[in-house]
Amino acid sequence: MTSLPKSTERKLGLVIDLDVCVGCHACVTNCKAWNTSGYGAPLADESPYGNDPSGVWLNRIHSFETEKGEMNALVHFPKSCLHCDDAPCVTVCPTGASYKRVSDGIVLVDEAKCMGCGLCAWACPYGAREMDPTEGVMKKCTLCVDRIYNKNLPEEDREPACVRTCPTNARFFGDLSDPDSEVSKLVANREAVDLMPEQETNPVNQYLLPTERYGAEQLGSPDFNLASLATQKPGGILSWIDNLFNGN
Amino acid sequence: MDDVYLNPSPHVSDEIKKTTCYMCACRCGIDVHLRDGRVRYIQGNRDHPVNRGVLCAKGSAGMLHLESPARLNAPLLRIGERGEGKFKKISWDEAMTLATEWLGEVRSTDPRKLAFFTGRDQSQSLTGWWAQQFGTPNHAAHGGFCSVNMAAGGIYSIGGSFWEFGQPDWGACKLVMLFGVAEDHDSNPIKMGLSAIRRNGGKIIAVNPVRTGYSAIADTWVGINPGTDGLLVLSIVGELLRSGCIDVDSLRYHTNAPWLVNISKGSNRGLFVRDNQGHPQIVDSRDNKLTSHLDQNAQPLLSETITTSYGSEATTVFNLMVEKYLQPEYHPSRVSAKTGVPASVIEGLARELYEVAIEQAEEINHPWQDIYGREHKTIKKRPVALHAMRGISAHSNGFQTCRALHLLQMLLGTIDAPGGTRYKPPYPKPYSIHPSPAKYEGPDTPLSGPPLGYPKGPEDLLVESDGTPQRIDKAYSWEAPLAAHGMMHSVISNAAAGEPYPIEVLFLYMANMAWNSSMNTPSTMDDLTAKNTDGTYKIPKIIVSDAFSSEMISFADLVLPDTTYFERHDGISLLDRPIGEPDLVADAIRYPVVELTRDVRPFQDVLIDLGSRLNLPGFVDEHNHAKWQNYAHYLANHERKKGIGPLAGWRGVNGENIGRGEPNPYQIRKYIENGSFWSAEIPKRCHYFKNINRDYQDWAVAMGFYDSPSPFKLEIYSETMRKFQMAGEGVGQHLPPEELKSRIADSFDPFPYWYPPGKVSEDEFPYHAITQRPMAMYHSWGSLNPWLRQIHSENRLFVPESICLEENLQENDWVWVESPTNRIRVQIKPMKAVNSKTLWTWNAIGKRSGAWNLSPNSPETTKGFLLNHLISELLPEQPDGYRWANSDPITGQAAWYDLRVKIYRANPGEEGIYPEFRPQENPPDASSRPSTLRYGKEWTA
Amino acid sequence: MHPAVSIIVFSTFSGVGFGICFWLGVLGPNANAQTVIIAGFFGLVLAVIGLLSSLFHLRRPARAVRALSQWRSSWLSREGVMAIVTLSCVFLFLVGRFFNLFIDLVTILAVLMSLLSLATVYSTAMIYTQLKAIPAWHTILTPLVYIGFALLSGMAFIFSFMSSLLGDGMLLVNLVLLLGSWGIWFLWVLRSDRIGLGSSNVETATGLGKFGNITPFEPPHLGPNYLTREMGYTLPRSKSRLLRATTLTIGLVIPLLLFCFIFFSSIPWLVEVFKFLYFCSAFAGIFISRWLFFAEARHTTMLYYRKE
Repeated sequence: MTSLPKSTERKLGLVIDLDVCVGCHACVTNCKAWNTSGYGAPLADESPYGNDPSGVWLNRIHSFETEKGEMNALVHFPKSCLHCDDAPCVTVCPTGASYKRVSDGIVLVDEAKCMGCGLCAWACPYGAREMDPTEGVMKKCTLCVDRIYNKNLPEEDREPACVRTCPTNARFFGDLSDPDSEVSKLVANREAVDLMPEQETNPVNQYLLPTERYGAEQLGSPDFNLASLATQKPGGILSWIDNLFNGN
Repeated sequence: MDDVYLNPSPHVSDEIKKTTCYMCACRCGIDVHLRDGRVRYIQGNRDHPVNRGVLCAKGSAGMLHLESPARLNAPLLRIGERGEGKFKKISWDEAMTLATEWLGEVRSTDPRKLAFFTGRDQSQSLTGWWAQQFGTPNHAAHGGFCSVNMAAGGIYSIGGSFWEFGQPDWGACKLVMLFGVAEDHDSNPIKMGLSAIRRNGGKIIAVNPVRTGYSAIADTWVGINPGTDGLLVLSIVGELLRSGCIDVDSLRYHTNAPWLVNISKGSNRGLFVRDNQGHPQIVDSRDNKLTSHLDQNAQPLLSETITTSYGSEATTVFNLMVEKYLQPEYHPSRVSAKTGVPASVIEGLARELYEVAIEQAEEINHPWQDIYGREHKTIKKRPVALHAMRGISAHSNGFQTCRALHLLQMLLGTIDAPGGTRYKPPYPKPYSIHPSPAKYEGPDTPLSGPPLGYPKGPEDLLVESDGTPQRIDKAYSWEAPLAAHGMMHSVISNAAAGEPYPIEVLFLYMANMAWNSSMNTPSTMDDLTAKNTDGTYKIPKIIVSDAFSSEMISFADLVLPDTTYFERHDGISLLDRPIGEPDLVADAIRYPVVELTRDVRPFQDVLIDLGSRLNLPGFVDEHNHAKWQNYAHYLANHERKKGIGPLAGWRGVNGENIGRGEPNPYQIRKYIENGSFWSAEIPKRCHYFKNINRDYQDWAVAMGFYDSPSPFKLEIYSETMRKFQMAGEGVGQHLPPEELKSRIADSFDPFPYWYPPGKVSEDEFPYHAITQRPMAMYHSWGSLNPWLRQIHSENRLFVPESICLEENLQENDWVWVESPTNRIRVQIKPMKAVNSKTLWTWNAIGKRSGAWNLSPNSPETTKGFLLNHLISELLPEQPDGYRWANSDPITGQAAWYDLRVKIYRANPGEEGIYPEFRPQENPPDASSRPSTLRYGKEWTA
Repeated sequence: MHPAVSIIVFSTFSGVGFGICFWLGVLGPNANAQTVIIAGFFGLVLAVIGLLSSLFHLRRPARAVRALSQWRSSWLSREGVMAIVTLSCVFLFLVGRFFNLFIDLVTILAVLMSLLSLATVYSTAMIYTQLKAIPAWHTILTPLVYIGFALLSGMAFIFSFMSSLLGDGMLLVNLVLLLGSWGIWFLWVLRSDRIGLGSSNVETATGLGKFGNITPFEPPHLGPNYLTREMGYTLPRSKSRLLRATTLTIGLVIPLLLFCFIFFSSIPWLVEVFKFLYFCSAFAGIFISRWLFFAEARHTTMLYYRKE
């Protein structure tokens, strides 16, 4: 059913901390490894050793340069499905393959129903859906729906593969509708943003902005000057050495 | 229910086997999920001390190494010309017989004619021992090309090193300063650590010409000019000394700052004043008398100048240091132009370091005893950690720059302090207890010790009486006296030139010398194929062992195919490059987790087999029967010294001992049961200041790290350097050749100092060109993996926007990049967050056409490139006609970050990567390349 | 957006097909049965060609029947349903005319047929109009353009091949349609140039606006992928201008000239040739404009990939 639920019982999603993401792509390949052999069709790679290698990925890392005054910086930016509350990809689906789960808010594709028209990928402003070239069905992040409830995995591993593997712990998974959850607290305590709010998709996933970067001139206490410390001491520069062990 | 079709609990795996990753040098623990005997999924092992459950991009994609059509399938014998890649398949019997014949002949005539070098060096304790037993000094791993400056600079200063021999005290430090650290050794621990610091409210400062990766998340980025880090650091040192913002007690008790140095003219000038037992002397503040630095009640004075009983003048290291670094040349205002770092930034850095290390120091309760026998109830937490790596290392001033960094740490008292940069066991190990490099003994005779070590003075060099180098790579000669990791990068050119002598067999393991592991790739290829007038190759025999069809394979005469890391045993030994943490000692193994389906053998098994076929001592018993069935058997049963073997866990016949103990035949099984690693907590009292911590010293002896307690003072002033410097000045019995004297005298400054790297004209070649290691690739070993190769299928030259404006360059324009040696044509991309004089690209993305079984026109070939083509082993001729080696004059470290270039737009119509190389052929039995990969299809739900 | 031939054929052919049906509904109840039936047959065939072409865009065409299930939420589903209902209605109408059955009903069917044809074309347009991620499409002008072109091409078809169905007044309608539909197209183009990616930009896409100017640095994978192939199609500005001019020339200027020739020419066979050319030119113009509709459309996803 491709009408969106009025509300979902939970809002499972990711909170991604741009402050610590170093762009290592761990979440990218770990996601692919889990999902190519998990839910639905494998994530195919065409021309894997050839001239035009190209595959399906459910999570990709971009990087952006910022430019503000003298401080140029690079921000690494992981992006996967945001599991929007008002997911435009779901309502456009003509076959009922795309849906948003009432129980936890995960946006999924029932691949058995997908006819591969690709309209949902067009509808998503974020580029979160990719067509599998061999099966002809739409692939997207499932929030590792086959991990998070999987009784064959130890409890501590019941989280998305990307979260489990992230070396900088830049990814958090939880229920964003529960104000007491870790993810909700992160969103409340840090500067969190929706991506493209103007698209009115109401994404569940949240991005925590990097903290301010600054130049080294601003390091240390601004009113503290090493050189003045040297001259302030009686006798001037290096008198501290003469006085070093008096009475010691 | 909206999705009744969905099974929320699908079957995950039949079995999980826990082993150790090999996708980079990090050596994380991995849980390999197996289905139907194949790898379904790999995740980090949560219990493992290295990665605590996380896993990087490379490790997560490891199973695709098992799918790669670049895997070698059987031993190969060359039938075409070298470099073509034309081979015939042979049996292992034939291959081993041939190799034994080649090597046996060399050993019985002149073992030096075997040059045995390993690229990936994670079994160095075996390979080094094998070379020793073979009797060739011509062995090393790739360290001379990689990071020997860090290792040697560290060992000679603090008996430890950054790299993976030490690490920031991630949990406790409040400020970490990274110098030239890109995705590198210890990568997952660094990532975890940086995140922890950030979450603890700490600061990260990155000093790096390029702001990617770790530098990207730094609070403060200092986009320094490449090769000037040493100057920056010494300027900070000067600032701290000028203002007295240093840890005085640490200098007095942990370092050689109070030691007296002879300053009168004469043969002792610059050497320590010593007592009759040879102990360096200090002045005791209680009576102003000289005493040994080991005197347990003495209170050393830092700033003293005295006249000794012999009438000569002596002053403290401290005084000399202050005098040196307060010279105007180190003042921020003078340093600013050379480093590209404003004086205000240098002052800010000094201020911050002082504030966090000294002002924010905390006295924490932590009982310990020092080597003087004094019991301490508390310890100073100095939460500043420095970490440095290849950006420091790969410059020709890297050794002294590394020492400068350690000096800064010493001034701040942060070495192995809580919150500082901490040693990882089995380090610290001062250079004094490392062996010196062993000398060649003759045919059919093992070396008396390992081929690599740390010289204590000119007398330990491996040179003939006339100064001629004894090693093929000229390591430990006057050209590179402290080449503690050998000089792999000069082996091939020296061998082809017959300098200092010709060799017979070049034996390489996973060393891609014909491509990204050489400076000047085209000339290396020429050297590998160079022929004598009679048509024979100048390097007569080349044996290569590798798991994949690399560029180097095509130049082999005999290929001994290796397995992947899923299919063999490995030992990650404390005798080698350690894993573990400051408070935890650990080692690990690999074991076969999938069935081997190709006619290939683990390299270590092959090496052991060769050892026994050659009747090498230690590899055969008294009846010349093979002593070791295979590497696993060796790992569990070999003893390097009594009770000490490759693996430290579960020693003793019943596995009850750690560190020292009888071999345990079931040791490997115990490792496997424990997730393929062993770890033990270091006792609390041993945690800090290990170089002078009595409990640690005793514990390290019990563990077998030391033969006896080996405490030492951190060396601000290096007497060893001074001894070499004196030789350069013409003093002593072992003197360098005339043309090298001034270079030795200049570069072996006993204090860390800075000199400009490289000798290339800045006017003609105004820009620096460097590489960064991408996080999803490890050297060239990623392009064979379809997932990793998609991330970096090609590379661009990143050019600062200011240069783009100047040269009128747009994204994707083709440009020429020219060095004094060569020029390349590549595509550019403008960038903002980069030093304004630095061009850079990702390392080792470009591939030779046909290598790694990629299609011949793959983007790696048509759009990927190496900077290596631009780098020469030798610098341009100087006015005196001499051509300096493009390496650090102290360690011989390849100085590939010294590269200077100019850049200009290619003419219209000039497009495509230059230089192009003739494609190499695939091995005869290479697997075909599938057009589509659907990994895991059989398991999808 | 990638200008897929299957989709362009789909929307232009179904457009002309349903356009013919619309006009038959308006003109057909009383017109010459044979001509109406032939015209209707062409309408049906063209619409079906269009609809079949859309199947080529599907990776799993066998599952196309499922596309009829989600008419409550999905415009694509509605389009499918509407097309089938409309085609059935047209079929019934033609059967009625052919056998001269249920005469009263035929009139109702004719009205219904016209309305349904409009609704179907509207649904087709709404498949694209609803996509907020492509701001150029997300406007009421889009269905107007689609409807305008459907009516124009349908009328042009009848005018060219079955002009006996048209009274004199219809010539004026034809002219109005020609000018009107291209006028709407022109407005659409003006708006699309102005709107760009609407209020979306790389700063909102990344949320990093407070850090100053944001520039995409490295894409996740250096080679192309599904998203860049599907949404990263770019038409250089110069080529775009040329194509727009070509579109207007072929779709509007030449038909206008031909219209004049037809009006003033007295040689019957030449009139027929001009009429034939008139339809071909008008339809070709519409076809190119539809290619441009896709090729020039910019998708917000590309904000993550390149400087937009």
